[in-house]
Amino acid sequence: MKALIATALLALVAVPAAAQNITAPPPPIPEGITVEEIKVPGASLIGNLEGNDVDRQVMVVLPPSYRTNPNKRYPVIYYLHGFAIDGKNFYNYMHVPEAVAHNAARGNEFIVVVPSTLTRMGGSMYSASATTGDFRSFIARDLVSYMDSHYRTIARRAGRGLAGHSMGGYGTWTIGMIYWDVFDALWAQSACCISPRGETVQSATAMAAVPYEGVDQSGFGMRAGLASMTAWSPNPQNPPFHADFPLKDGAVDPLVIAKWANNAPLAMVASHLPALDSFAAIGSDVGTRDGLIRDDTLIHEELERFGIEHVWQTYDGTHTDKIAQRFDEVVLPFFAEHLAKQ
Amino acid sequence: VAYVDEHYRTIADADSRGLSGHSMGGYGTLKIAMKYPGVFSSIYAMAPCCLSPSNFTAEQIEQFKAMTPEQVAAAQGFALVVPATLSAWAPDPKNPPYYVSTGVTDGAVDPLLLARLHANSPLVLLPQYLPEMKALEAIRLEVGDKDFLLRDDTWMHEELERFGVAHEWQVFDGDHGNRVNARIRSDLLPFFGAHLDK
Repeated sequence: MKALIATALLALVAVPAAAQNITAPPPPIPEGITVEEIKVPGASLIGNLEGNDVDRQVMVVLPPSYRTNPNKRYPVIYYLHGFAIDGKNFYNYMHVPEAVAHNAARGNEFIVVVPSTLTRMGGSMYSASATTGDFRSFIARDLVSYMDSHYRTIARRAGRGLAGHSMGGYGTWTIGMIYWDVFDALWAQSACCISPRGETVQSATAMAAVPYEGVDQSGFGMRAGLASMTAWSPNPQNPPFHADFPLKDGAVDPLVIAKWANNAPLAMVASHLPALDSFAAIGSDVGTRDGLIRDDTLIHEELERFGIEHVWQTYDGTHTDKIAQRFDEVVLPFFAEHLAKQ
Repeated sequence: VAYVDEHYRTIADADSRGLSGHSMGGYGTLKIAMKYPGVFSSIYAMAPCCLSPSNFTAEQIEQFKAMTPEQVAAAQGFALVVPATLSAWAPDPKNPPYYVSTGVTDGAVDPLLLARLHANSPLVLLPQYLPEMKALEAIRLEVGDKDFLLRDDTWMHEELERFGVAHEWQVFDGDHGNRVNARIRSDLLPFFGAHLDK
Protein backbone atom coordinates (compact mmCIF):
# COMPACT_ATOMS: atom_id res chain seq x y z
CA MET A 1 0.00 0.00 0.00
CA LYS A 2 2.94 2.35 0.62
CA ALA A 3 3.96 1.66 -2.93
CA LEU A 4 0.48 2.52 -4.10
CA ILE A 5 0.67 5.88 -2.37
CA ALA A 6 4.02 6.69 -3.89
CA THR A 7 3.08 5.71 -7.41
CA ALA A 8 -0.32 7.33 -7.32
CA LEU A 9 1.36 10.67 -6.73
CA LEU A 10 3.10 10.20 -10.04
CA ALA A 11 -0.21 10.40 -11.86
CA LEU A 12 0.18 12.85 -14.70
CA VAL A 13 -3.37 14.09 -14.47
CA ALA A 14 -4.87 16.98 -12.57
CA VAL A 15 -6.01 16.44 -8.99
CA PRO A 16 -8.52 19.10 -7.94
CA ALA A 17 -8.13 20.15 -4.31
CA ALA A 18 -11.76 19.80 -3.27
CA ALA A 19 -12.88 16.40 -4.52
CA GLN A 20 -9.50 14.64 -4.27
CA ASN A 21 -10.42 12.61 -7.31
CA ILE A 22 -8.44 12.33 -10.52
CA THR A 23 -9.87 13.89 -13.70
CA ALA A 24 -8.86 13.86 -17.36
CA PRO A 25 -10.17 15.75 -20.41
CA PRO A 26 -12.59 14.00 -22.80
CA PRO A 27 -10.83 11.82 -25.38
CA PRO A 28 -11.05 12.05 -29.16
CA ILE A 29 -13.81 9.85 -30.61
CA PRO A 30 -12.73 8.44 -33.99
CA GLU A 31 -15.23 8.25 -36.83
CA GLY A 32 -17.45 5.19 -36.64
CA ILE A 33 -17.09 4.70 -32.89
CA THR A 34 -20.25 5.10 -30.80
CA VAL A 35 -20.04 6.07 -27.14
CA GLU A 36 -23.04 5.74 -24.86
CA GLU A 37 -23.14 7.01 -21.29
CA ILE A 38 -25.74 4.97 -19.43
CA LYS A 39 -26.95 4.23 -15.89
CA VAL A 40 -27.07 0.60 -14.80
CA PRO A 41 -29.19 -0.36 -11.77
CA GLY A 42 -27.19 -2.26 -9.18
CA ALA A 43 -29.44 -4.67 -7.33
CA SER A 44 -26.34 -5.91 -5.51
CA LEU A 45 -25.73 -2.45 -4.06
CA ILE A 46 -29.15 -1.94 -2.51
CA GLY A 47 -28.95 -1.21 1.21
CA ASN A 48 -25.24 -0.36 1.32
CA LEU A 49 -24.46 1.58 4.49
CA GLU A 50 -22.30 4.30 2.92
CA GLY A 51 -25.18 5.65 0.87
CA ASN A 52 -23.34 4.92 -2.38
CA ASP A 53 -25.42 5.31 -5.55
CA VAL A 54 -27.25 2.12 -6.48
CA ASP A 55 -27.57 3.25 -10.12
CA ARG A 56 -24.06 3.42 -11.58
CA GLN A 57 -22.69 5.50 -14.44
CA VAL A 58 -21.28 3.25 -17.18
CA MET A 59 -19.44 4.19 -20.39
CA VAL A 60 -20.14 1.85 -23.30
CA VAL A 61 -17.92 2.03 -26.39
CA LEU A 62 -19.28 0.30 -29.49
CA PRO A 63 -17.11 -0.75 -32.46
CA PRO A 64 -17.57 0.62 -36.01
CA SER A 65 -19.68 -2.20 -37.45
CA TYR A 66 -22.13 -2.22 -34.51
CA ARG A 67 -24.40 0.25 -36.37
CA THR A 68 -23.88 -1.03 -39.89
CA ASN A 69 -24.16 -4.75 -39.18
CA PRO A 70 -27.30 -5.14 -37.04
CA ASN A 71 -27.05 -8.92 -36.70
CA LYS A 72 -23.47 -9.18 -35.51
CA ARG A 73 -22.63 -9.94 -31.89
CA TYR A 74 -19.43 -8.84 -30.15
CA PRO A 75 -17.11 -9.92 -27.36
CA VAL A 76 -17.22 -7.54 -24.39
CA ILE A 77 -14.29 -6.26 -22.33
CA TYR A 78 -15.22 -5.06 -18.86
CA TYR A 79 -12.60 -2.49 -17.86
CA LEU A 80 -12.22 -1.47 -14.20
CA HIS A 81 -10.83 1.88 -13.03
CA GLY A 82 -8.51 2.54 -10.09
CA PHE A 83 -8.82 4.39 -6.79
CA ALA A 84 -9.86 8.06 -6.53
CA ILE A 85 -11.17 8.28 -10.09
CA ASP A 86 -14.58 7.55 -11.61
CA GLY A 87 -15.35 5.44 -14.64
CA LYS A 88 -15.82 8.33 -17.04
CA ASN A 89 -12.50 10.00 -16.19
CA PHE A 90 -10.74 6.67 -16.46
CA TYR A 91 -12.35 6.16 -19.86
CA ASN A 92 -11.12 9.67 -20.75
CA TYR A 93 -7.58 9.01 -19.56
CA MET A 94 -7.36 5.64 -21.29
CA HIS A 95 -8.58 7.01 -24.65
CA VAL A 96 -10.85 3.99 -24.89
CA PRO A 97 -12.61 5.08 -28.15
CA GLU A 98 -9.26 5.25 -29.97
CA ALA A 99 -8.18 1.89 -28.57
CA VAL A 100 -11.43 0.32 -29.84
CA ALA A 101 -10.97 1.99 -33.26
CA HIS A 102 -7.34 0.86 -33.60
CA ASN A 103 -8.22 -2.72 -32.72
CA ALA A 104 -11.17 -2.68 -35.11
CA ALA A 105 -8.78 -1.56 -37.85
CA ARG A 106 -6.65 -4.63 -36.99
CA GLY A 107 -9.75 -6.77 -37.47
CA ASN A 108 -10.68 -7.16 -33.80
CA GLU A 109 -13.97 -5.59 -32.80
CA PHE A 110 -14.98 -5.33 -29.15
CA ILE A 111 -17.53 -3.62 -26.98
CA VAL A 112 -15.63 -2.02 -24.09
CA VAL A 113 -17.57 -1.26 -20.91
CA VAL A 114 -16.21 1.04 -18.19
CA PRO A 115 -18.35 1.09 -15.03
CA SER A 116 -17.93 3.69 -12.32
CA THR A 117 -17.50 2.38 -8.80
CA LEU A 118 -16.37 5.59 -7.11
CA THR A 119 -17.69 5.54 -3.53
CA ARG A 120 -17.86 7.86 -0.55
CA MET A 121 -14.44 6.55 0.52
CA GLY A 122 -12.88 7.02 -2.94
CA GLY A 123 -13.23 3.51 -4.34
CA SER A 124 -15.23 0.31 -4.03
CA MET A 125 -12.22 -2.02 -3.86
CA TYR A 126 -14.54 -4.23 -5.99
CA SER A 127 -15.35 -6.18 -2.84
CA ALA A 128 -18.43 -7.75 -1.27
CA SER A 129 -19.13 -5.45 1.67
CA ALA A 130 -22.36 -4.81 3.54
CA THR A 131 -21.03 -1.30 4.12
CA THR A 132 -19.61 -0.31 0.71
CA GLY A 133 -21.98 -2.48 -1.33
CA ASP A 134 -21.38 -5.79 -3.08
CA PHE A 135 -19.46 -4.38 -6.04
CA ARG A 136 -18.10 -7.81 -6.99
CA SER A 137 -21.61 -8.99 -7.66
CA PHE A 138 -22.51 -5.65 -9.28
CA ILE A 139 -19.78 -6.18 -11.89
CA ALA A 140 -20.16 -9.93 -12.43
CA ARG A 141 -23.94 -10.16 -12.17
CA ASP A 142 -25.84 -6.86 -12.49
CA LEU A 143 -23.62 -5.22 -15.11
CA VAL A 144 -23.00 -8.34 -17.19
CA SER A 145 -26.69 -9.24 -17.33
CA TYR A 146 -27.58 -5.63 -18.18
CA MET A 147 -25.11 -5.62 -21.06
CA ASP A 148 -26.28 -9.00 -22.31
CA SER A 149 -29.91 -7.89 -22.32
CA HIS A 150 -29.38 -4.40 -23.81
CA TYR A 151 -26.57 -4.88 -26.35
CA ARG A 152 -25.64 -7.44 -29.00
CA THR A 153 -23.03 -9.18 -26.89
CA ILE A 154 -21.64 -12.69 -27.18
CA ALA A 155 -23.60 -13.59 -24.07
CA ARG A 156 -21.50 -16.44 -22.72
CA ARG A 157 -18.27 -16.90 -20.84
CA ALA A 158 -16.15 -17.27 -23.97
CA GLY A 159 -17.22 -13.80 -25.10
CA ARG A 160 -16.29 -11.90 -21.93
CA GLY A 161 -12.96 -10.47 -20.78
CA LEU A 162 -12.18 -8.63 -17.55
CA ALA A 163 -9.39 -6.09 -17.18
CA GLY A 164 -8.50 -3.18 -14.96
CA HIS A 165 -5.78 -0.86 -13.73
CA SER A 166 -4.42 -0.47 -10.18
CA MET A 167 -7.47 -0.99 -7.87
CA GLY A 168 -9.17 -2.21 -11.06
CA GLY A 169 -6.32 -4.69 -11.56
CA TYR A 170 -6.94 -5.87 -8.02
CA GLY A 171 -10.65 -6.21 -8.86
CA THR A 172 -9.73 -8.20 -11.97
CA TRP A 173 -7.91 -10.75 -9.82
CA THR A 174 -10.56 -11.04 -7.09
CA ILE A 175 -13.67 -10.93 -9.28
CA GLY A 176 -11.93 -13.34 -11.64
CA MET A 177 -11.25 -15.85 -8.88
CA ILE A 178 -14.68 -15.60 -7.27
CA TYR A 179 -16.85 -15.25 -10.40
CA TRP A 180 -14.60 -17.41 -12.57
CA ASP A 181 -17.51 -18.76 -14.62
CA VAL A 182 -18.51 -15.32 -15.93
CA PHE A 183 -15.30 -14.20 -17.70
CA ASP A 184 -12.99 -16.30 -19.85
CA ALA A 185 -9.86 -14.14 -19.90
CA LEU A 186 -8.29 -11.70 -17.43
CA TRP A 187 -5.66 -8.98 -17.71
CA ALA A 188 -4.50 -6.98 -14.66
CA GLN A 189 -2.56 -3.77 -15.35
CA SER A 190 -0.37 -2.51 -12.47
CA ALA A 191 -2.63 -4.23 -9.94
CA CYS A 192 -2.61 -2.85 -6.42
CA CYS A 193 -3.34 -4.48 -3.08
CA ILE A 194 -1.92 -7.88 -3.98
CA SER A 195 -0.23 -8.58 -0.62
CA PRO A 196 -2.15 -8.74 2.64
CA ARG A 197 -2.37 -5.29 4.20
CA GLY A 198 -0.84 -4.96 7.66
CA GLU A 199 -1.00 -2.22 10.27
CA THR A 200 0.98 -1.11 13.30
CA VAL A 201 -0.58 0.29 16.47
CA GLN A 202 0.60 3.69 15.28
CA SER A 203 -0.90 3.46 11.79
CA ALA A 204 -4.11 1.93 13.11
CA THR A 205 -4.43 4.72 15.67
CA ALA A 206 -4.02 7.30 12.91
CA MET A 207 -6.82 5.62 10.92
CA ALA A 208 -9.13 5.64 13.91
CA ALA A 209 -8.49 9.37 14.40
CA VAL A 210 -9.91 10.41 10.99
CA PRO A 211 -13.38 11.96 11.39
CA TYR A 212 -16.05 10.51 9.08
CA GLU A 213 -16.64 13.91 7.49
CA GLY A 214 -12.89 14.39 7.04
CA VAL A 215 -12.13 11.35 4.86
CA ASP A 216 -11.96 13.42 1.63
CA GLN A 217 -9.24 15.62 3.13
CA SER A 218 -7.25 12.81 4.76
CA GLY A 219 -4.91 12.23 1.80
CA PHE A 220 -4.71 9.51 -0.85
CA GLY A 221 -3.05 6.84 1.28
CA MET A 222 -5.25 7.30 4.33
CA ARG A 223 -8.35 7.39 2.16
CA ALA A 224 -7.28 4.18 0.43
CA GLY A 225 -6.77 2.57 3.85
CA LEU A 226 -10.22 3.62 5.04
CA ALA A 227 -11.78 2.43 1.77
CA SER A 228 -10.05 -0.92 2.23
CA MET A 229 -11.38 -1.10 5.77
CA THR A 230 -15.02 -0.43 4.86
CA ALA A 231 -14.68 -2.92 1.99
CA TRP A 232 -12.95 -5.72 3.92
CA SER A 233 -13.94 -5.44 7.58
CA PRO A 234 -17.50 -4.12 7.45
CA ASN A 235 -19.46 -3.96 10.68
CA PRO A 236 -23.07 -2.80 10.30
CA GLN A 237 -23.18 -2.12 14.03
CA ASN A 238 -20.24 0.27 14.25
CA PRO A 239 -21.29 3.68 12.87
CA PRO A 240 -20.36 6.06 11.36
CA PHE A 241 -17.85 4.08 9.25
CA HIS A 242 -19.84 0.86 9.73
CA ALA A 243 -16.56 -1.02 9.83
CA ASP A 244 -14.11 -2.49 12.29
CA PHE A 245 -10.92 -0.51 12.70
CA PRO A 246 -7.77 -2.64 12.95
CA LEU A 247 -7.29 -1.50 16.56
CA LYS A 248 -8.79 -3.14 19.63
CA ASP A 249 -7.86 -2.55 23.29
CA GLY A 250 -4.66 -0.77 22.28
CA ALA A 251 -3.39 -3.57 20.03
CA VAL A 252 -3.74 -4.44 16.34
CA ASP A 253 -6.88 -6.61 16.03
CA PRO A 254 -5.80 -9.91 14.40
CA LEU A 255 -9.32 -10.79 13.20
CA VAL A 256 -9.56 -7.54 11.25
CA ILE A 257 -6.12 -8.10 9.72
CA ALA A 258 -7.19 -11.66 8.85
CA LYS A 259 -10.35 -10.37 7.16
CA TRP A 260 -8.20 -8.06 5.09
CA ALA A 261 -5.81 -10.88 4.22
CA ASN A 262 -8.78 -12.88 2.99
CA ASN A 263 -9.24 -10.15 0.37
CA ALA A 264 -5.61 -10.21 -0.76
CA PRO A 265 -5.17 -11.90 -4.16
CA LEU A 266 -1.82 -13.32 -3.04
CA ALA A 267 -3.52 -15.11 -0.14
CA MET A 268 -6.44 -16.19 -2.32
CA VAL A 269 -4.49 -17.99 -5.06
CA ALA A 270 -3.86 -21.20 -3.10
CA SER A 271 -7.58 -21.68 -2.37
CA HIS A 272 -8.84 -20.73 -5.86
CA LEU A 273 -6.73 -22.98 -8.09
CA PRO A 274 -9.59 -24.67 -9.99
CA ALA A 275 -11.01 -21.22 -10.76
CA LEU A 276 -7.65 -19.91 -11.98
CA ASP A 277 -7.06 -23.04 -14.03
CA SER A 278 -10.36 -22.63 -15.83
CA PHE A 279 -9.53 -19.46 -17.78
CA ALA A 280 -8.71 -19.42 -21.48
CA ALA A 281 -5.93 -16.98 -20.61
CA ILE A 282 -4.61 -14.76 -17.83
CA GLY A 283 -2.26 -11.82 -18.22
CA SER A 284 -0.63 -9.24 -16.00
CA ASP A 285 1.80 -6.38 -16.51
CA VAL A 286 3.49 -3.58 -14.59
CA GLY A 287 6.01 -0.82 -15.29
CA THR A 288 9.55 -1.25 -14.01
CA ARG A 289 9.33 2.22 -12.45
CA ASP A 290 6.06 1.42 -10.67
CA GLY A 291 6.39 0.76 -6.92
CA LEU A 292 3.83 -2.00 -7.36
CA ILE A 293 6.29 -4.11 -9.35
CA ARG A 294 7.27 -5.96 -6.17
CA ASP A 295 3.71 -6.99 -5.36
CA ASP A 296 2.83 -7.79 -8.96
CA THR A 297 5.96 -9.94 -9.24
CA LEU A 298 4.84 -11.82 -6.13
CA ILE A 299 1.52 -12.88 -7.66
CA HIS A 300 3.29 -13.87 -10.87
CA GLU A 301 5.58 -16.10 -8.78
CA GLU A 302 2.64 -17.48 -6.82
CA LEU A 303 0.84 -18.44 -10.07
CA GLU A 304 4.04 -20.10 -11.29
CA ARG A 305 4.38 -22.01 -8.03
CA PHE A 306 0.97 -23.55 -8.59
CA GLY A 307 1.45 -24.11 -12.30
CA ILE A 308 -1.21 -21.60 -13.41
CA GLU A 309 -0.41 -20.60 -16.98
CA HIS A 310 -0.28 -16.86 -17.50
CA VAL A 311 1.37 -14.09 -19.46
CA TRP A 312 3.61 -11.79 -17.41
CA GLN A 313 5.19 -8.65 -18.80
CA THR A 314 7.18 -5.77 -17.38
CA TYR A 315 7.91 -2.64 -19.40
CA ASP A 316 9.77 0.64 -19.03
CA GLY A 317 7.14 2.81 -17.40
CA THR A 318 5.50 4.20 -14.27
CA HIS A 319 2.13 3.46 -12.65
CA THR A 320 0.34 5.57 -15.25
CA ASP A 321 2.46 6.78 -18.20
CA LYS A 322 2.08 3.81 -20.58
CA ILE A 323 -1.18 2.23 -19.47
CA ALA A 324 -3.42 3.75 -22.16
CA GLN A 325 -1.00 2.76 -24.90
CA ARG A 326 -0.71 -0.77 -23.49
CA PHE A 327 -4.50 -1.14 -23.27
CA ASP A 328 -4.59 -0.42 -26.99
CA GLU A 329 -1.51 -2.38 -28.09
CA VAL A 330 -1.27 -5.26 -25.61
CA VAL A 331 -4.44 -5.80 -23.58
CA LEU A 332 -7.08 -5.66 -26.33
CA PRO A 333 -4.96 -7.75 -28.76
CA PHE A 334 -4.56 -10.33 -25.94
CA PHE A 335 -8.33 -10.56 -25.61
CA ALA A 336 -8.67 -10.76 -29.40
CA GLU A 337 -6.48 -13.84 -29.31
CA HIS A 338 -8.38 -15.59 -26.53
CA LEU A 339 -12.06 -14.61 -26.70
CA ALA A 340 -14.73 -15.93 -29.05
CA LYS A 341 -15.52 -13.71 -32.01
CA GLN A 342 -18.99 -15.00 -32.70
CA VAL B 1 -23.48 -34.79 -5.12
CA ALA B 2 -23.40 -35.59 -8.83
CA TYR B 3 -22.54 -39.22 -8.10
CA VAL B 4 -25.30 -39.67 -5.55
CA ASP B 5 -27.88 -37.99 -7.78
CA GLU B 6 -26.88 -40.24 -10.64
CA HIS B 7 -26.79 -43.55 -8.73
CA TYR B 8 -29.67 -43.20 -6.27
CA ARG B 9 -33.28 -42.06 -6.46
CA THR B 10 -32.57 -38.67 -4.89
CA ILE B 11 -34.69 -35.56 -5.16
CA ALA B 12 -31.98 -33.95 -7.23
CA ASP B 13 -32.60 -30.38 -6.24
CA ALA B 14 -31.06 -27.93 -3.73
CA ASP B 15 -34.41 -27.65 -1.93
CA SER B 16 -34.04 -31.30 -0.98
CA ARG B 17 -30.34 -31.31 -0.05
CA GLY B 18 -29.01 -30.70 3.44
CA LEU B 19 -25.39 -30.41 4.55
CA SER B 20 -24.20 -31.23 8.02
CA GLY B 21 -21.12 -32.27 9.91
CA HIS B 22 -19.40 -32.44 13.27
CA SER B 23 -16.22 -30.65 14.35
CA MET B 24 -14.04 -30.48 11.20
CA GLY B 25 -17.23 -31.53 9.40
CA GLY B 26 -19.04 -28.59 10.97
CA TYR B 27 -16.29 -26.37 9.64
CA GLY B 28 -16.76 -27.94 6.20
CA THR B 29 -20.51 -27.43 6.44
CA LEU B 30 -20.15 -23.68 6.93
CA LYS B 31 -17.39 -23.23 4.40
CA ILE B 32 -18.89 -25.36 1.62
CA ALA B 33 -22.23 -23.60 2.11
CA MET B 34 -20.47 -20.28 1.54
CA LYS B 35 -18.47 -21.40 -1.48
CA TYR B 36 -21.05 -23.55 -3.27
CA PRO B 37 -24.34 -21.68 -3.12
CA GLY B 38 -27.28 -23.34 -4.82
CA VAL B 39 -26.23 -26.91 -3.99
CA PHE B 40 -27.69 -27.23 -0.46
CA SER B 41 -30.65 -25.34 0.99
CA SER B 42 -30.29 -25.99 4.72
CA ILE B 43 -27.22 -26.60 6.84
CA TYR B 44 -26.58 -27.92 10.34
CA ALA B 45 -23.15 -27.34 11.91
CA MET B 46 -22.45 -29.45 15.01
CA ALA B 47 -19.68 -28.09 17.20
CA PRO B 48 -17.75 -26.73 14.21
CA CYS B 49 -14.02 -26.37 14.66
CA CYS B 50 -11.48 -24.04 13.10
CA LEU B 51 -13.71 -20.97 12.91
CA SER B 52 -11.26 -18.30 14.03
CA PRO B 53 -8.05 -17.66 12.07
CA SER B 54 -5.39 -20.31 12.68
CA ASN B 55 -1.95 -19.15 13.70
CA PHE B 56 1.16 -21.24 14.07
CA THR B 57 4.32 -20.13 15.81
CA ALA B 58 7.74 -20.42 14.22
CA GLU B 59 8.44 -23.05 16.88
CA GLN B 60 5.49 -25.20 15.75
CA ILE B 61 6.60 -24.98 12.13
CA GLU B 62 10.17 -25.88 13.06
CA GLN B 63 8.95 -28.84 15.13
CA PHE B 64 6.98 -30.12 12.16
CA LYS B 65 9.95 -29.65 9.81
CA ALA B 66 12.11 -31.64 12.21
CA MET B 67 9.77 -34.66 12.10
CA THR B 68 10.86 -37.59 9.94
CA PRO B 69 8.36 -39.06 7.45
CA GLU B 70 8.14 -42.07 9.78
CA GLN B 71 7.23 -39.84 12.71
CA VAL B 72 4.58 -38.05 10.64
CA ALA B 73 3.18 -41.40 9.48
CA ALA B 74 2.97 -42.62 13.07
CA ALA B 75 1.52 -39.39 14.49
CA GLN B 76 -2.10 -39.35 15.60
CA GLY B 77 -4.82 -36.89 16.49
CA PHE B 78 -3.74 -33.40 17.43
CA ALA B 79 -0.10 -34.14 16.58
CA LEU B 80 -1.26 -33.92 12.96
CA VAL B 81 -2.97 -30.55 13.23
CA VAL B 82 0.02 -28.61 11.89
CA PRO B 83 0.73 -30.81 8.84
CA ALA B 84 -2.97 -31.32 8.06
CA THR B 85 -3.72 -27.62 8.30
CA LEU B 86 -0.73 -26.65 6.19
CA SER B 87 -1.48 -29.19 3.50
CA ALA B 88 -5.11 -28.08 3.27
CA TRP B 89 -4.64 -24.33 3.50
CA ALA B 90 -1.02 -23.53 2.72
CA PRO B 91 -0.03 -25.94 -0.05
CA ASP B 92 3.21 -25.39 -1.92
CA PRO B 93 3.78 -27.72 -4.89
CA LYS B 94 7.43 -26.68 -4.97
CA ASN B 95 8.37 -27.52 -1.40
CA PRO B 96 8.88 -31.30 -0.98
CA PRO B 97 8.51 -33.67 0.79
CA TYR B 98 5.14 -32.53 2.19
CA TYR B 99 4.48 -29.83 -0.41
CA VAL B 100 3.30 -27.30 2.14
CA SER B 101 4.51 -23.82 3.07
CA THR B 102 7.01 -23.99 5.90
CA GLY B 103 8.59 -20.56 5.60
CA VAL B 104 10.26 -19.20 8.70
CA THR B 105 12.65 -16.24 8.41
CA ASP B 106 14.61 -14.88 11.37
CA GLY B 107 12.28 -16.59 13.81
CA ALA B 108 9.12 -15.22 12.17
CA VAL B 109 6.58 -17.26 10.21
CA ASP B 110 6.20 -16.19 6.55
CA PRO B 111 3.28 -13.70 6.62
CA LEU B 112 1.92 -15.20 3.39
CA LEU B 113 1.71 -18.61 5.06
CA LEU B 114 -0.40 -17.09 7.83
CA ALA B 115 -2.51 -15.13 5.35
CA ARG B 116 -3.26 -18.37 3.48
CA LEU B 117 -4.47 -19.92 6.73
CA HIS B 118 -6.57 -16.87 7.57
CA ALA B 119 -8.22 -16.98 4.16
CA ASN B 120 -9.82 -20.28 5.20
CA SER B 121 -11.38 -19.12 8.46
CA PRO B 122 -15.21 -19.00 8.44
CA LEU B 123 -15.21 -16.04 10.84
CA VAL B 124 -13.03 -14.24 8.33
CA LEU B 125 -14.97 -15.44 5.29
CA LEU B 126 -18.45 -14.61 6.59
CA PRO B 127 -18.67 -10.89 5.67
CA GLN B 128 -17.67 -11.81 2.11
CA TYR B 129 -20.37 -14.45 1.76
CA LEU B 130 -23.49 -12.83 3.19
CA PRO B 131 -25.66 -13.28 0.07
CA GLU B 132 -24.81 -17.01 -0.01
CA MET B 133 -25.58 -17.47 3.70
CA LYS B 134 -28.76 -15.37 3.60
CA ALA B 135 -30.04 -17.41 0.65
CA LEU B 136 -30.14 -20.61 2.74
CA GLU B 137 -33.55 -21.70 3.99
CA ALA B 138 -32.26 -22.61 7.45
CA ILE B 139 -29.00 -22.61 9.39
CA ARG B 140 -28.42 -24.41 12.66
CA LEU B 141 -25.34 -23.91 14.81
CA GLU B 142 -24.85 -25.77 18.08
CA VAL B 143 -22.19 -26.65 20.62
CA GLY B 144 -21.96 -28.23 24.08
CA ASP B 145 -21.48 -25.98 27.10
CA LYS B 146 -18.42 -28.02 28.12
CA ASP B 147 -16.95 -28.15 24.62
CA PHE B 148 -13.54 -26.50 24.16
CA LEU B 149 -15.02 -24.95 21.03
CA LEU B 150 -17.72 -23.06 22.95
CA ARG B 151 -15.88 -19.75 22.67
CA ASP B 152 -15.25 -20.00 18.91
CA ASP B 153 -18.74 -21.24 18.11
CA THR B 154 -20.34 -18.52 20.24
CA TRP B 155 -18.22 -16.02 18.35
CA MET B 156 -19.57 -17.36 15.02
CA HIS B 157 -23.13 -17.08 16.34
CA GLU B 158 -22.45 -13.46 17.31
CA GLU B 159 -20.99 -12.69 13.90
CA LEU B 160 -24.01 -14.21 12.15
CA GLU B 161 -26.22 -12.00 14.32
CA ARG B 162 -24.15 -8.92 13.67
CA PHE B 163 -24.53 -9.36 9.92
CA GLY B 164 -28.22 -10.23 10.15
CA VAL B 165 -27.93 -13.86 9.00
CA ALA B 166 -30.95 -15.68 10.45
CA HIS B 167 -29.98 -18.91 12.21
CA GLU B 168 -30.87 -21.21 15.08
CA TRP B 169 -28.29 -21.29 17.86
CA GLN B 170 -28.23 -23.79 20.69
CA VAL B 171 -25.87 -24.49 23.56
CA PHE B 172 -26.64 -27.90 25.08
CA ASP B 173 -25.41 -29.76 28.13
CA GLY B 174 -22.44 -31.73 26.82
CA ASP B 175 -18.85 -31.84 25.64
CA HIS B 176 -17.30 -32.14 22.17
CA GLY B 177 -18.42 -35.70 21.53
CA ASN B 178 -20.71 -37.22 24.13
CA ARG B 179 -24.04 -36.03 22.67
CA VAL B 180 -23.38 -36.15 18.95
CA ASN B 181 -24.95 -39.54 18.43
CA ALA B 182 -28.11 -38.68 20.38
CA ARG B 183 -28.52 -35.27 18.81
CA ILE B 184 -28.46 -36.66 15.28
CA ARG B 185 -31.74 -38.37 16.14
CA SER B 186 -33.30 -35.77 18.43
CA ASP B 187 -32.36 -32.63 16.54
CA LEU B 188 -30.45 -33.01 13.28
CA LEU B 189 -32.78 -35.28 11.32
CA PRO B 190 -35.94 -33.48 12.55
CA PHE B 191 -34.33 -30.18 11.49
CA PHE B 192 -33.87 -31.47 7.94
CA GLY B 193 -37.33 -33.04 8.11
CA ALA B 194 -38.74 -29.60 8.72
CA HIS B 195 -36.74 -27.77 6.07
CA LEU B 196 -36.09 -30.04 3.08
CA ASP B 197 -38.70 -30.53 0.37
CA LYS B 198 -40.15 -34.00 0.25
